[in-house]
Amino acid sequence: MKQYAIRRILQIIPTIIGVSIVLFGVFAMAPGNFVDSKQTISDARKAELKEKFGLDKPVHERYFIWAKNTIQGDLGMSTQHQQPVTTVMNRYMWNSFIIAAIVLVLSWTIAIFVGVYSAIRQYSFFDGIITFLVFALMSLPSFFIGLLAIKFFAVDMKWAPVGGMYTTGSNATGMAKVWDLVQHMWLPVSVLTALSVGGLTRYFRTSMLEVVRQDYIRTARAKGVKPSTVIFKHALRNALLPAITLLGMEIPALFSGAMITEQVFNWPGIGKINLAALQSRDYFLLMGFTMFLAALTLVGNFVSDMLYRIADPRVRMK
Amino acid sequence: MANNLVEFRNLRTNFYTSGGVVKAVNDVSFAIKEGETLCVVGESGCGKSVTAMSLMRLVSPPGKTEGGQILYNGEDLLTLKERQMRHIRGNEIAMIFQEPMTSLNPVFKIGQQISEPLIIHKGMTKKEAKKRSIELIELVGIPRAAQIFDSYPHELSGGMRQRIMIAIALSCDPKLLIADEPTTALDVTIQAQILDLMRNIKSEFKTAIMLITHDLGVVAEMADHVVVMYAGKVIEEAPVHELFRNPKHPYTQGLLRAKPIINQRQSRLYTIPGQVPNPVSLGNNCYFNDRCEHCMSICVDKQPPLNTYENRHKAACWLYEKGGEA
Repeated sequence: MKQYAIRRILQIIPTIIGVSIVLFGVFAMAPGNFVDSKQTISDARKAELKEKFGLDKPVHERYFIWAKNTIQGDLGMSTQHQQPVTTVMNRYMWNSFIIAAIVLVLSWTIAIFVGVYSAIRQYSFFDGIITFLVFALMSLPSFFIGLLAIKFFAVDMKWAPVGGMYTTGSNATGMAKVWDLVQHMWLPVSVLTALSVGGLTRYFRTSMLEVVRQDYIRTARAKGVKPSTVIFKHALRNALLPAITLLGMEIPALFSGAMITEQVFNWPGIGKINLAALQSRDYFLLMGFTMFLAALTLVGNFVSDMLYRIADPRVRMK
Repeated sequence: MANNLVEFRNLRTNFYTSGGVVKAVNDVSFAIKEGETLCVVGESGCGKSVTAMSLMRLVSPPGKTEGGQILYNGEDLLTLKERQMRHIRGNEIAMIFQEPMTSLNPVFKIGQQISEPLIIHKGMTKKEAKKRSIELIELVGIPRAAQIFDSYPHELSGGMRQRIMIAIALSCDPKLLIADEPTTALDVTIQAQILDLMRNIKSEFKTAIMLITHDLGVVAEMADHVVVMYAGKVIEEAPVHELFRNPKHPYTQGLLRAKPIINQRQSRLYTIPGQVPNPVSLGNNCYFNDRCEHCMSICVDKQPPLNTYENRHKAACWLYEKGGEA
């Protein structure tokens, strides 16, 4: 187990180098840059700025400068924000994280219960309604359902603010601040949960349906085990095994932010910042953030592999 | 003479499929005596397993047990509440299955799976259940029991897993052990070992066994009494010696002729012509009529009743009836 873990960690290193080369190449070779896009400055000043930021050097040279700084923990300056990339990321990422974490817990809990229930009552009225709702939610685009929710709950019913994270100009502290946050948060959280719960429910329903037909479930019932124990002890543990892979992939999603939903709800999250960085060719912010996500993806994979070993005795090493 | 432990009376279990209603168990009556081994034989799909699952009340939709009675110690199991039935399952009536490779839960240790019925039915603590489980593992002939207790199913061979299934079934000293083709998925040497084990259990604990099989060799070795099923009906029933010496129903005769005999070279084994009829479209006739070499006009028009003849021999065939001569 330990040996396997070390081997997997060592495998991450070449992968991450490869990822950084590809990413840097793509971003650096995309046409345009943040100096050329500013039309008010003179050509002489542009050349001066390019020299200052190293944009006049060839791509491979720039890569090595970037890589050397990154290893030392310096991700560079965001040209758009005029601040170090790490500061910018740190400021916005947690705003996205708080929403993503709540959505993750909510959508997984709902999906497990609803999926299991509609599997054990397959083709019942309840199952039919759930299947309909799931497909309805899965087929709606996020900007549409987000705007619809704002129109209905925020504008018409006035149950929630239209957007933002805190009330503008408010300097509340302590519980009052938390309450303000909750009021701003529940609508985007609901929308994002609704969007992600559909696919997950479908996933757990299918997984459960497969497991309840297995011979060992029949064995458990023939032993005189209670139906609820059969489902939640004998079946669920097996049905959740394939979901571990999915859970690993949720780790980067926790930090990546929801670009479109954040835009719709005017939420100061990292997804929105990333989109803006892409538009203004803010290379260092783009590189820093994308590399961070790539690293998290690799970590997620590693974690799910490890969890798999713990949860499934058949995968465990002798 | 021993008392009846289980008595099926006119049991009917139907499956509602898109093609129509399948009468998987169609008016089946027979009894299992205390301490007796009763073999149920027949081709695939003739209702053997469904009869056993009906007894456990584990027939799942689209199947439904819709008629008759199953008396266990004089009490009709079909009218019991689900909670009372759970107390009988795994405790008084236990079952082992055909597929040992998939019948154990892959994510739980062997020990947990043997302990579970002990904790549920006997109210044992985890510690007591562990002690008893290790004894049970030894009882079914697996060495290093304490080590096996902490193993997972995938670390065991098929024969060992079937032994574990037997250990689970025996854990609460059941009155009846249902074995649904327990040796079909195992190779011949392991088959013999498992059958030996079951015979020992029977003589040691006086457990009645309902053995479902399509292997007549197994029947000859194990059975006291034999029930032959065809297309959801009992067509013949007799003590094992009587049945092998004097099979009455042409189907049973065909089955016995189709059995290979050691030291007799035959270029081709006998087969019963035709196929099992489609269970959806059965009429009021002898279901075997289109495959039977003695088929008479009455066989196509009327269903033969299951009548009792000498030596506790029952058969449902017009050949032995007055009506058949007419």
